[in-house]
Amino acid sequence: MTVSIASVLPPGVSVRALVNRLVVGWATLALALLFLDVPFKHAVLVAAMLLSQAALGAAFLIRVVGISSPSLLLICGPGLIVGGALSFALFQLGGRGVTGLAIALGLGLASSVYVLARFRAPNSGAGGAVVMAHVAGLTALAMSSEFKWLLIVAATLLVVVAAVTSNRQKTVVKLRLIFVLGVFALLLARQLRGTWWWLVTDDYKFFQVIAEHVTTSGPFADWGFLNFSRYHWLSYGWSGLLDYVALNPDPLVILTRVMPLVYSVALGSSLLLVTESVSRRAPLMSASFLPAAIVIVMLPLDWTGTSTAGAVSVLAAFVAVLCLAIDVRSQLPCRVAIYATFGSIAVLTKLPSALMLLPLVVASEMTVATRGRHRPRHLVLTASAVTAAGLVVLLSLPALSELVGSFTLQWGSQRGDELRNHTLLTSIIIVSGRRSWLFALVAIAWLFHRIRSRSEATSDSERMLLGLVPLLFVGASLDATVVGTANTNEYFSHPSYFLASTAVLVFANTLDRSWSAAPWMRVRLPWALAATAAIAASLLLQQVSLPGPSAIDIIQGIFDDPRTIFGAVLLAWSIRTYVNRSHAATFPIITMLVLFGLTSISPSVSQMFEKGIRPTLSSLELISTVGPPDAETIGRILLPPTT
Amino acid sequence: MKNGNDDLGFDYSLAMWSRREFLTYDSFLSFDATAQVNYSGKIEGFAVSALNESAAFLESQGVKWYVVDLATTSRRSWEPHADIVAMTWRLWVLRMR
Repeated sequence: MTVSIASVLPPGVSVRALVNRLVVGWATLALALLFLDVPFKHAVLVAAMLLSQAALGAAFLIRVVGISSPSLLLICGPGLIVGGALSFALFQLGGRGVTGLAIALGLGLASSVYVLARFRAPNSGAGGAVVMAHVAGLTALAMSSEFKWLLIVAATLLVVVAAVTSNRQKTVVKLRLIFVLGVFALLLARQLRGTWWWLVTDDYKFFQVIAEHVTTSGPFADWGFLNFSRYHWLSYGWSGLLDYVALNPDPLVILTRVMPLVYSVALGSSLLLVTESVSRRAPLMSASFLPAAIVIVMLPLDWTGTSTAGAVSVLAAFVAVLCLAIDVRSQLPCRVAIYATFGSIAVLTKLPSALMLLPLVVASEMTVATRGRHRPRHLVLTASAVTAAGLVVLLSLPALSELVGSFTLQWGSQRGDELRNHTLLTSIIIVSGRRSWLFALVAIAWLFHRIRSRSEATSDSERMLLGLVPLLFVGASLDATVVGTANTNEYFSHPSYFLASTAVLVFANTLDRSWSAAPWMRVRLPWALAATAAIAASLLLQQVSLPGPSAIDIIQGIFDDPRTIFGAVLLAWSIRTYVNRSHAATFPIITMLVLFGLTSISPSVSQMFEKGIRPTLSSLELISTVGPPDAETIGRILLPPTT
Repeated sequence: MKNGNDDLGFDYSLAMWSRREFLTYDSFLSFDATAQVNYSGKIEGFAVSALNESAAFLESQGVKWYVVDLATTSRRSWEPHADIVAMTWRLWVLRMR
């Protein structure tokens, strides 16, 4: 008996439509990889594998969560994260050779048919191309924290999409001009970035070696005198698998140019998916893009360790799937499967991010338990439960430190940094003060939620996101206590801050209802003056240096970041709005979010001006990063015959 | 595997370019520093003295190739344990017999 593809497709979906979707997805990915300097042969192979992995993950999530029609954002976000892990597991279980690859690829291709046949095209009027352009813009933004030239790409994509989707009348000539200018800007950015734009740390050598080891021998095999089973290896294993699929390109091609793209695409897509869930409608992209972009730039991703930035993408995908599960009312066994899946991926990607598993599970279960109830006390209840979960996390740290051994907990005179003269409580207050801008922003998100919930039913997902806000205190406590090599404390605190910052996504709700209706572009003089005054005050305060007793340290920490002033101004305005029950919030929110965004990317912009878009790499730096020429010569002589 | 003195990051770059696994690496990233220290004498000693004991140890660990950093030894022959199969100004490749 033979079964044709057409016979397994749902009604209304032709084989041709399916092939078209596959080709468009594959070509888009391949083009992005080519743009990032991945050689053609390897780019087309990696694009095919990534497509199959994203489909595999999406198919898994469709079955587990119970989604009937997957969207582009689901496939590119959580689908990619879960699919990468699943395909890595299949490759390993299949013997790490051709058999393992055949199993992973075969299931991926079958999933592609399954997923794309059920694919839900964007229905916001924006169209798939615009959604993809927004994902591409967020991707460039996420990568730009390390690869500065991509800021030009992000800005170009934003301007082009904003121009194409604006309500202003557009002629064909205007549209063509916009398109040509956009392509020109992208090519210019590519030209300006320099040859070695992707080399940002000498740790890459180490990560490449891990990727090779995990792919050829497996993560649990001894490695000479080393055993890396304790090291976070999933992101490097994924990189190694893509190396294998791409027929072994030169070292670092996949690790430095493909993996940041993969994790950034997943991050951008997941955040937009959360926004879609929070606002309970397909995203009106202009409105949902801004809060997602702010979440990305507020806490710059660290690409010097693929796993460090990758862990944030995993958490974003986790949150997106939890929102979907709440939306479609997934049953407890399904939710447990979600927790187990993402918990495992988080543990193996970067262990400290797994500390967020308990608060996320608690937030999700509390939201489910109070589903459909929108009284303030239900939100407070969720936040209180998350706070309790955060305390459990903090209390578990000594045991974790004992078990893992790569960090210690220190405060007071034990520390060797500027916090050594402070007690534990004062240290936490000082560290919290440095993030006061973030506290202000999420406080505003809470207030606007309260304003809206008086007159309309807010979504359960929104309540879950706002319930995560207490994780800010967990992040500050981790920053004030965890000590390890270099920035180990950030491995622990960054996931907490990131999850708390997702509350910013609820602004999309306030923005999208008035984005097109209100003349938000009309200049409001008081707001323009307030914003200018905020910038001036921030710059002035940054010049003041007040070393001294604790109280001054705390004040200094609070006002050290100009975003604190922006946040304070908006917070004051929000309270006034809250009292007046006014809904005219669009212009102030957009102004503040844009200011937050500009301030957040200003270090990257400054660095571009100081070091140039085409950063120079001395021969000594090059040797330190990829090794001396001798090593390459000898290494190529020693290459195993199969490569 | 390669003998010590990893001032230019040879260990990981050699492993990266050769796609081969090394018996030991620069110790700063080692997860089992004690074992590494215990054995480093035998491993690095082979480049300097080519003693039977070192050669037997390397054989027992399944080492097929040994990269010598000439800056760390004045020896230029490892007979009868290994043959020189490639050389650059600083690194020589030995195939273990």
